[in-house]
Amino acid sequence: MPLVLPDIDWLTLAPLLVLLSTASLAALYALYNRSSKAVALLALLGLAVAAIFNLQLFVASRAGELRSSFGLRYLADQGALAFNFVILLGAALAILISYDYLKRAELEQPEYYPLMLLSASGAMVMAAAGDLIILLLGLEIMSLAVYVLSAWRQQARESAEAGMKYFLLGAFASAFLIYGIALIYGATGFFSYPQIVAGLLAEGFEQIFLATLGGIMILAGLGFKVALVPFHQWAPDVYTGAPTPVTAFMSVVVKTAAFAALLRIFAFIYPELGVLAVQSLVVLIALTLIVGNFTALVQRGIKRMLAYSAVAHAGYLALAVLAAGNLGMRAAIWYLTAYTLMNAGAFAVLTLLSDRNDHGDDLERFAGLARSRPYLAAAMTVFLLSLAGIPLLAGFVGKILVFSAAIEAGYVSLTVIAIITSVVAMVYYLRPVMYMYFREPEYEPLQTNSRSTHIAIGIAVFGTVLLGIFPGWWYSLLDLGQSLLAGL
Amino acid sequence: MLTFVVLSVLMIVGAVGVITLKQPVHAALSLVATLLTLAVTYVTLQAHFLAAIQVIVYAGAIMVLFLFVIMLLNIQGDQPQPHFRWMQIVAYLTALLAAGAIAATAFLSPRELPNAELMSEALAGGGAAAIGEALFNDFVLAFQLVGVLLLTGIIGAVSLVQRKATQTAKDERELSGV
Amino acid sequence: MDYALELSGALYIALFALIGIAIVFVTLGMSRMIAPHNITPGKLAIYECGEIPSRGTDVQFNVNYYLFAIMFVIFDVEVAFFFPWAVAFDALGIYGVVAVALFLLLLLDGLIYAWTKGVLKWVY
Repeated sequence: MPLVLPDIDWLTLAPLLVLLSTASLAALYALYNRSSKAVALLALLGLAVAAIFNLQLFVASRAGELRSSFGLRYLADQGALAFNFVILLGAALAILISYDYLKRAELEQPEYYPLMLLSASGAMVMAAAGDLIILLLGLEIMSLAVYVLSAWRQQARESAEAGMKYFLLGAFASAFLIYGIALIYGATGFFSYPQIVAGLLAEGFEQIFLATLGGIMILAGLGFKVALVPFHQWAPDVYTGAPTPVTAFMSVVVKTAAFAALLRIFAFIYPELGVLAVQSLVVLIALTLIVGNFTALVQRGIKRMLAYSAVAHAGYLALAVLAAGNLGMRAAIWYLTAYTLMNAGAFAVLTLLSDRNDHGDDLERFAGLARSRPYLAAAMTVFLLSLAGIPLLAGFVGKILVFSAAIEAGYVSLTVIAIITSVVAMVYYLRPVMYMYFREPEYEPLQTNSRSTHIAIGIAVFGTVLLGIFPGWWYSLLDLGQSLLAGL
Repeated sequence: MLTFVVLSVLMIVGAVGVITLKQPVHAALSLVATLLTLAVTYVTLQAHFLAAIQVIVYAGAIMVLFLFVIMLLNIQGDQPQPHFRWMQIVAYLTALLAAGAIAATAFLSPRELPNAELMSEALAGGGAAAIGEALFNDFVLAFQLVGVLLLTGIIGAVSLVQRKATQTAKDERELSGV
Repeated sequence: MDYALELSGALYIALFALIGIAIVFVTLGMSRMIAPHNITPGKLAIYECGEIPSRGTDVQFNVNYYLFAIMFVIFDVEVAFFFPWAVAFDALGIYGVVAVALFLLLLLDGLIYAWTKGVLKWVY
C-alpha cells in the first residue's frame, strides 16, 4: 500500500506554530533568565506575530481563498480565523494585566507566560478543529495549562482549592466529552466532521440514538467549560479563588474556544442528530439564564458577582449557538469580541482595587470610588454598563445581534426569557456603579497603579466604546460566507 | 464466547473491588487486575498492540501514579467516611440505569461493523503497523498535539511543584530567622 | 498468519489460569507442610534489611517524588507512540522520521526544562 501523505498547508498552521514555538522558547529562556519582563515581552511579541499571520489568512479568506490542513481536520475558514483574533486579544489582555499583578502578589515566575501561551494555542486548536480528536486535544492542552495557572497562588487555600476543583471537575467533564466522542465514533465510525455527517446521512443508518447520546455528552463536556447550568458549579469558586488575571483569561479565552467548538459541532453535526440533542441545549440555556442572573443578584463580592455574570453570559452566547449557521456564528463571534473586551477590562480594574491576595472586592470597597480614583471608576462603569447591555456600548449590540439571530431561528420564548433576565441583570451591574458615584467612601482605597494594566484597561475601554458606537465594521468583516464544511 | 464471559466476570469483580475495598492500596491493586484482564481481552480480539500499550501505559505507568498519590496523600484506609445515604442510593440507581441503557443498545440492536473485513485484515499483524500508518497519516496532527500536551504537562507540573518547594524553603528560613 | 490463540483462546487461557492458581497453592502448601513451625517475635517483624522497623509503611512522601512519577509516565507514553512507528517504519520512510523528530523535539524541550530545573535530582 503506497503511503498517502497528509496535505499540510503551513500558512494555515502558522499562527498556531508561532504561539507554540514562542511558548517553548520562552520556557527555555526562562531557565537562564529569571526576569519575567523579558518573558512577558516575548509572549506579547509571539501573540502579535501570530495575529499578523492570522490577519494575512483572514484577508486571504475574505478574498474567497478557503484553506485547511490535514484533510479538513484543521480549518482556517473565516469563523476559525475570527475566533483566533478574539483568543489572541484575550490572551494579550490577560498578559498585560498579569505583569505588575504577579510582582505585587509575589507570584512572579516566568513559567506563567509560556503556560498562558500554550493554553491560548490549545484554544486556537479548538477553534480550528474539524475533527473530534483534534478538538479533544486542543481542549486538554488549553485546560491543563489553566488548571496549573488557577492554582498559581499556592500559599492561599482558595487558590489551591480553585485549581483542585477545576482540575477534578474538568477531568470529569473531559470524561463526558471523550465518552461522547466514543459514542459518535461507535455509531458512525469516523472522527472528522464531514465524515460523521456523511455517516449519519448514509442509507440504512440505524444508530441515531447512540449518536444523539454522544452529541448530548459532547454538549455536557463543552457546557462545563463555558459554565452552562447545571455544569456551572465550579465557576464561582474557581473564578473567585484563582488569581484575578487568570480569572480574566479563563472567562474570556476558555469561553471563546469552547463556544467556537460548540458552534461548529452544532452547525454541522447537530442538525443530523435526534431532536433530543437540540432540546437539551434549549433546557440548559433556560436554566443558565435564570440561575446565572438571579444568583448574581445576591452576591456581595464583585469578583463572585462577575463569576455568576460569566455564567449568565454563557447563556446568551449559547442562544447564538442555537441559531447556528451563518447568522448565529456571526452574532456569537461579535458577542465574544465584545465580551472579551468588557469582561477582561472589568477584571483588570478589579486587580487594581483589591489587595495583593485578591481580597477586598466587596461592594462597600467601591463606595465613593468616583472621587478617589475617578478614571478607574469611569472605566469600571463603562465595562459594567456594557455587560448590562446599555445602548451605545459593545454589550448592547452583542445582545441585539444574539437575540435577533435566536428569533430568526424560531426560539422566541427562549429569547423572551433572555430579555427578561437581562433586565434583571441591570440591577446587579448598576449596583456597583451606584456605590462608586453616590456613596460616601467607607474605606481608604488602595492606590495601586500599573502601567501595563492601564494599557489593558485603555484598550478594553476603547474597544468597548468603539464597537458600541460603530458596530458595523467588525460585523461586516464577519460576513462568513461559505463555510469550509458547508458544501460537504 | 466462554473466554469473553470469564474475562468480563474477572473484570467486573476487579472493578467492583476498586470501589468497595477500604484500603486504597488494595483498591489500586484491584484496578491492576481489571486493567490486566482488559489487556487479555484485547489479545483475544487480536489487538496485540493495544494489549501491549494497555499493560505498559495503564497497568504500568498510570498505576505508578496512583500508588504515588496514595503515598503522597498518606491516606489511611480506616478513616471514617462521610455518609451521604441518599446520594449513594441515587448514585447506584444512576449507574444501574446507565449500564442497563448501554447494555440494551449494545445487545438489542447488534449490527455488523461497517468495515469488519478491513479491520480484521488490518489487525492481522497485531495491529501495530496499521496503527502506525493511520497515526502518521490521518492522525499526524493529533500525534504532534499529544507532544504539545505532554510538554504542557511537564512545564505545568514542574513549575507548580518546584514553586511549592521554594516557597516552603523560604517559609522555613523566615521562621528560623525569627 | 495463523493464530493458535484464535482457535482455542479459551483453552489456553483456562490452562494458564489453572496452572497459575495451582502454583500458588502448591508452593504455599509445600512450605507449610515441610517447614518447621517455630515463631519468635523477630521473625514476625517486617523485613527491613536487618534494621528494626520504626513505623508503618504509610509514610507521607515528599511531593518532589511525584515529579519522577510524572516524568516517567510522560516518557512512557512517548515510547508507546514509537512502537507503531517502528513497525510501520518501511512504509513511512523519511516522512515518518521527520514527524517523529518534531514530536521528540517537543518532548526534548520539556526534558531540558525539567532537567535544568533539577527535577531529575534525587531529593532527601
